[in-house]
Amino acid sequence: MSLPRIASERFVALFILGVLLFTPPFLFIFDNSATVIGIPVLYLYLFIAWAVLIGLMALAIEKMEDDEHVTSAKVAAGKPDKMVPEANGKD
Amino acid sequence: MLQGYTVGAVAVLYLCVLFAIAYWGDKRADENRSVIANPYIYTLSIAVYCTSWTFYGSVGRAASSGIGFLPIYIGPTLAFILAWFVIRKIIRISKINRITSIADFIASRYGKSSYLGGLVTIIAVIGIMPYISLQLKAVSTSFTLLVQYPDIIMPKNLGSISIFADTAFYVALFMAAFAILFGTRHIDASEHHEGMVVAIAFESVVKLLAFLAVGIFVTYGVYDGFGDIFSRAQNSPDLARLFEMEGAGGYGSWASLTILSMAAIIFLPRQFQVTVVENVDESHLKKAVWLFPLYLLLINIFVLPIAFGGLLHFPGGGVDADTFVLTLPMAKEQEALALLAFIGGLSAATGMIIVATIALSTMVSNDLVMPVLLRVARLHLSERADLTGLIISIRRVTIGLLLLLGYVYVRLIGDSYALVSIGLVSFTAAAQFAPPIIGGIFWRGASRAGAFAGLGGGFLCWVYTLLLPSFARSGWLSESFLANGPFGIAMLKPYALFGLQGLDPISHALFWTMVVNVGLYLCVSLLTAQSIVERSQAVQFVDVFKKTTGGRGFWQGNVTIGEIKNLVGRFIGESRMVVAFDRFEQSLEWKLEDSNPADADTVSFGERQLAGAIGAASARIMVASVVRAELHDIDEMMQIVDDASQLIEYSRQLEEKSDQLESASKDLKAANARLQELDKLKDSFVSTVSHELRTPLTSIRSFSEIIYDSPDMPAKQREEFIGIIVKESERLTRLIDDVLDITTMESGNLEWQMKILDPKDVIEEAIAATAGLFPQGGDIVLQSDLPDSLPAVYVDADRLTQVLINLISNAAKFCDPEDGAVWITAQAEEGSLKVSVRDNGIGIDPGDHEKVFERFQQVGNQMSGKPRGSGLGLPICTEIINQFGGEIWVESQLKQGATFSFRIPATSGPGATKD
Repeated sequence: MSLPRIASERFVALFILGVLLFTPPFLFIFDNSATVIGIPVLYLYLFIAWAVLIGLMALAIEKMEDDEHVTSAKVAAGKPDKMVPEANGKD
Repeated sequence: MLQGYTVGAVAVLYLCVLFAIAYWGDKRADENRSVIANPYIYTLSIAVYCTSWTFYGSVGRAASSGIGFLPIYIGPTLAFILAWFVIRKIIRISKINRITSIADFIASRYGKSSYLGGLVTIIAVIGIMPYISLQLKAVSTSFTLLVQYPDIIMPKNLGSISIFADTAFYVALFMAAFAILFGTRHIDASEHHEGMVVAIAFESVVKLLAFLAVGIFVTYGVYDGFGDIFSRAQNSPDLARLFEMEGAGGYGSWASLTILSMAAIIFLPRQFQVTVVENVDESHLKKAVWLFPLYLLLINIFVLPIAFGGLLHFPGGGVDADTFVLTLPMAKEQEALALLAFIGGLSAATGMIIVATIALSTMVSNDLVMPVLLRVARLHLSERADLTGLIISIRRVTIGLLLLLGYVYVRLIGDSYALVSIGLVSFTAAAQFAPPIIGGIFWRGASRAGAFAGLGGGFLCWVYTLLLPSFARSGWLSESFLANGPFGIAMLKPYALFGLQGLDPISHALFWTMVVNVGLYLCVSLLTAQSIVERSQAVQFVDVFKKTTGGRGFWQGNVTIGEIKNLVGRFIGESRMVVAFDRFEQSLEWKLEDSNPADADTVSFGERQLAGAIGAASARIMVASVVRAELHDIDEMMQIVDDASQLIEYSRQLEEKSDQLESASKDLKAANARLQELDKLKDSFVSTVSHELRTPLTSIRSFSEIIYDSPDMPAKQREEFIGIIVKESERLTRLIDDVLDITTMESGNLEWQMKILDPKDVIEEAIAATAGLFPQGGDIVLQSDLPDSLPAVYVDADRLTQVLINLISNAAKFCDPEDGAVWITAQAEEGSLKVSVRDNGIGIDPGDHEKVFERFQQVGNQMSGKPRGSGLGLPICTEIINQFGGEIWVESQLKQGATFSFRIPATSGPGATKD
């Protein structure tokens, strides 16, 4: 079974987000000597962004598994549906 | 007190626990109660990525460059977002192709090239060797430090310690024993080492817990939380510098390390081993996709606090930052924690060494040594039935040699580098595998030559920009090699190749190796053609998901029982198939539903049935064609295809021969039939001639007898009888003349007086000769229509006259008895003369048109019941006209008269029809 299309698009989007979060334009924002509750903002930002990204990955995987269940349920339900018009056609 | 023997005993105890766990894992696997069949063990085994480099080195790097250690873990996180595209595809391909190492993968993708496999193996061994040394060094350093407890004394150069006093040596021995025991226990097609995986997963837990324990102790025990440590650090300008990217080596280094580690997480041989080869279920990857990055996050949370804590606690640089994880608990006199930290570091190091040596030994035996041994014909290895012992021995020796080399390397060169730098050199080597693998699974056109050129070029570039400089730094090469370039050529300085400056050595090397590797890979691939095997492998790799749609594994759901039955039925017959499967069903004691997916047993049962009918090799191909799995041995398949096409060629030749024979036999049959017909004709000719001769003879004889027996017969009657006798004699003579004529003509003995003459004269002569048949005032009139000029013909005048007389007299004979009329016409046609004789008589049925030209066939005769000629007139005409190169035919309908015509070629000279 190949990857469901939407699920694969979610991973691509996440990857783009990941690259964005950990490359200069975003890093510039936090690349200064300021601190929040004593912790340098760059450190804080990187670890929080990292954690958020991991959370989103977990969500995307969970969602993909849900989608799979729905699809397989649909496939199972689709079989009797298909039988009906065939029977009608014969009558 | 932590004595040397205490630490040693704990370490040995820990390793014994590891042995026990691995043994238990293997035992469970043998009992089919696998402990690794869950995503958590799988994730933890991937965490072998975190070596002593992570455990000790991250802190060291953070102490010198702040956040600069982080890309090594951000990269894998980014790579794992794409795991579902890349890693899953590699896993699927590897399972289907039974791939057991990264060298195997690349060799298999590019047409099962043993040269390519060898090259990958060499790159891997040379590239990973420093990394193994790094682990040995870390263990040795940490041990040496710990036994000094409570003093903190930086260990001296390893080279100055004797080998037997060197912990690294014993660690190497232990690791060799472990890897040999659990990595080469048996040869398995799938190369799963369950015991090893369980042990690695256990080590991942230990090192994480140990690191977190030290982190929590430093952050909350020594200092007052994160904020406290960073606030104190901020007061020192040296440390505050590390808070920004500037201190981390800049964005260039940040980006290149991220890219490097993205490649490393997939393409380091040990990562490939645990992620791909040891994977037992593709779906485990789902959990690992986010659990592994989470592991990385957890193990990195306390890196910065420990680094800054260490820097604050040991100002002045007297203590190597790489050892802070160990030295901080020691400095705070936390014996147990220090021991735990040591065990954690030991876990990290041993895990890496075990997996890396097993992965490398598989490569060396399968892709380097065995191909060479098998090629050496003298050894006759390919004829030996069982090579498993040999392979295992090769692997064991390889593991021993690898660790020995690693140990030698660490003694010679290990001190000149910080941990992280050594690791990054290895990462860059592993990154060389990225283009041929990523390209190989997504780009069909990638060729073996391209991969070979790319890998080779990238590797040479790596040697030049990273390996040789590391030798130079250790003093093996002159320092001026680094500073001024080889032979003083500044353009070739290994850290500033072609004048490229401003990059750190790793970024610099990554840039150049990738330019060379990817560049050569693309260009050579585009310029070279793929062989058949390469192309088929390329399609199998790139389209791996298309081929096995609907199935997760080799057998699962790929083929239904019905399809297998159908296939078998096609070859052994429906009824035998049903009987066979009924028996099989009984032996299984459960019902086989046709629509259910076939399990391996059913498939192999089907294959065995097929093998009985069409041979094992062909059966495999047939089964493979329905299970939509690929053939593992492309050569074998090509062989079978060759054989099959040869058979087809033979059968085509046979068919041709049989066609030829058939047509020859048809010709013979036809000739035979013709001969028989001729024979019949001859017989009938003889009998007809005899019969025809007999009629007048009988008549002559009977009348002669009457006259002889009746001397007193009246004179008038006698005269009448003698008249009949004379007439019949004439008829007899005519008949004999005709027979003689036709036989001489047919035998070709007749002499033809061929001349060029005007046909008009001949026709008029014939009319004159037959004038007696058309008396003035009689019932029959003859009309002729002859143009003034007719084309000259080259004929025998007498014979042509004979034809005309024959036709005219026939017409006179068969024309209407009451009001008979005969027409003669002649006309010039293009290049020929056509003469027709028409009558208004009874006509001839179209079905008899050909018959009239046969001998003794008198069509009219049967109707009138009375013979009216010899029956040889028309056959003689046919012979004559044929001799002149012309044709004769009749046009007629019953009751509508008949037109006999002949056409003879007009002549332009005497030679035209000469024969």
